Amino acid sequence: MSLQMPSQPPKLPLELWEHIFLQLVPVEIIGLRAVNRSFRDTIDRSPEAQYLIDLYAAGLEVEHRDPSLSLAERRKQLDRYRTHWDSLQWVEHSSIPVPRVPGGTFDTGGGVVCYVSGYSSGPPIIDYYFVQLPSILRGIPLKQWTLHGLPNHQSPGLFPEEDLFVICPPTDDRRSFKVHLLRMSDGQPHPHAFIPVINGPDYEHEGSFQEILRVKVTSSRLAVMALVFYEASNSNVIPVHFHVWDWKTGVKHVEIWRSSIDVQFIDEYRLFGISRASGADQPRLVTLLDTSAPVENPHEPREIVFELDDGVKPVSLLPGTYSRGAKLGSSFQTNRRRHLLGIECSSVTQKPPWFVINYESICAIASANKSSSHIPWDSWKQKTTQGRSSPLYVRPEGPRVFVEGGPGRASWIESFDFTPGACRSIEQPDPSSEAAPAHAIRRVTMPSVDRIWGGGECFVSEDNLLVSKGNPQNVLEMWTF
Amino acid sequence: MVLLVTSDNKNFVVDREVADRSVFVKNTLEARGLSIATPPMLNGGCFELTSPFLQVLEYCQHHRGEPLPTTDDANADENRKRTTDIGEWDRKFITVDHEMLFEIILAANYLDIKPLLDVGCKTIGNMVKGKSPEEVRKLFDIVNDFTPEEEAQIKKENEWAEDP
Repeated sequence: MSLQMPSQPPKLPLELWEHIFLQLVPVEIIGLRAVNRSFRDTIDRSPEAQYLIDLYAAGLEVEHRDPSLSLAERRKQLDRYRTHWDSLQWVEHSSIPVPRVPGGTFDTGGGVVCYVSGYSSGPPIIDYYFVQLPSILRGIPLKQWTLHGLPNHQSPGLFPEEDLFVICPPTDDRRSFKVHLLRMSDGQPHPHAFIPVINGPDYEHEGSFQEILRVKVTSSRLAVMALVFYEASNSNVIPVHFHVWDWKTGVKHVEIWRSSIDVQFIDEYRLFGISRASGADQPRLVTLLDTSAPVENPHEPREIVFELDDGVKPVSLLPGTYSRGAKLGSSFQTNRRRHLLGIECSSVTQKPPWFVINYESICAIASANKSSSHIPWDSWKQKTTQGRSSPLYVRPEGPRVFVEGGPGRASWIESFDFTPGACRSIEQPDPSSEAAPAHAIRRVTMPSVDRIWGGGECFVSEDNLLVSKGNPQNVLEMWTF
Repeated sequence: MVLLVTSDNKNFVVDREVADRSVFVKNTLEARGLSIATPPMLNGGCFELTSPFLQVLEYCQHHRGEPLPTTDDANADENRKRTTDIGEWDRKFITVDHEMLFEIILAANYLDIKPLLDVGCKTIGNMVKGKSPEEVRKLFDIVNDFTPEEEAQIKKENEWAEDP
């Protein structure tokens, strides 16, 4: 048997080419199938390469593999994982006792849930409670700990992979905010942070600082959205001041005044998304900001704008709908897969002010295409749910979107499968077809449904689905497989 | 000291510690209780070893004394660093033309010097990173032996994972 390539010069045996392929990330391995027959066959016959590709297709990062397991064992776990996600059957239910605290829960970034011990109007110093959700797939145990006596901030940012915990309390004079970069494990200043505390701008001459709406963190970027009531602003101005820093170097990459209403990370490659609507009857826009490299002027970051105006019902974002506590009618969630973007668009009507009475969601997945400035609506992969309040969750690493619904209570969850194969079908739906295609919405009634309250607070992490608001409320309800 | 003889009958006298970087040489010496390793033959002896062997020796001399990977490191691949993570010395060492790079990889594979094999493979991995199939073919002078139908089929199969 010849070990030589049919095409001569690269005279490495195929087993060595396989070794080379396995140095690459899955998407690159897949791309090399198109080089020639030998490459294709080598990749297709390599159990390790196929495992990496399947892991990628399941929306998992390569780094999540458990190094203590053999390839066969990992393959078995992956297959089990995919089966359970495809069927939406979580078979194990557990209740995790948590402190009974008045504040909310925040983030499940990396499978860690954080509770705060007070309200925003409460004491300046509060406690933060953490629960690290167990993961069968990654061999992570349940862990709970508390950080005592830290500044009060109601929407902290978490990045467990780097042990990073970010809180942004207002300054004493409430004209600005401070960004504290701490270790999640012990609350000490983070050793990799450029400085332990970043000072926000003084808003005295711009308006009045209200609160920090959102903090998002990746391995290198930190985004902070500050709600500011500007003086002399017209009703169409969106009162958010948006910052992006490199938290390790201190370089500011983005600073946008009066524009953004929501932000999510698209992925680890430092793309941020902002959705914005400049006012009533204006097209809703989604902007992707490329923050991968420092820009000369952080006020003019590289932008890619998507218009969401075709095929969508006119959106009535009435002046002022973006005020505190209102349902904005436009938000989106993303996973870390570079080319997935979940968007929730909502048509909202106000009566009385700040109250959404008609809510409709459209979930969409679009490619975060760096080279294109416009994606027509009909090329987006989309699914629609109608007529109910439907929070949307994207599994952090995965390709699926979950909508939790039900009148008053969360009585079911739905899965919109945006895996690539399914996406192709979604592009060409047959409205006359009664039979649900394989990619159709899957709905499962949750077990122990009486335990779930509130119609919200449903988090999805690696290999478990968590409904945080249990009954009694000092329990985290968790389903896993 | 150990005498190593290459397939083209060139002799090299090296420290045992250097020679032991090669698991092949180490095992051969230990099994036979000898101080002479027989000519490494590659692919039926068609391989001219002296030139890459000098390179391999340089690598082994530089890394002498470092702990050898054990069989327990079979899972090291699982924790492998990203392909860009090649040490500074190794990166300079492996900056050679394609032909030599292939030969070093072949020699490292035959002589069972896993760290060197990894450095070589990562280097090639870095070369193909971000390149189109056509660019990869051009880079390594690979002939596209797909029929148009096969090419269309591959394109369809790969579509889901393509970078948008």
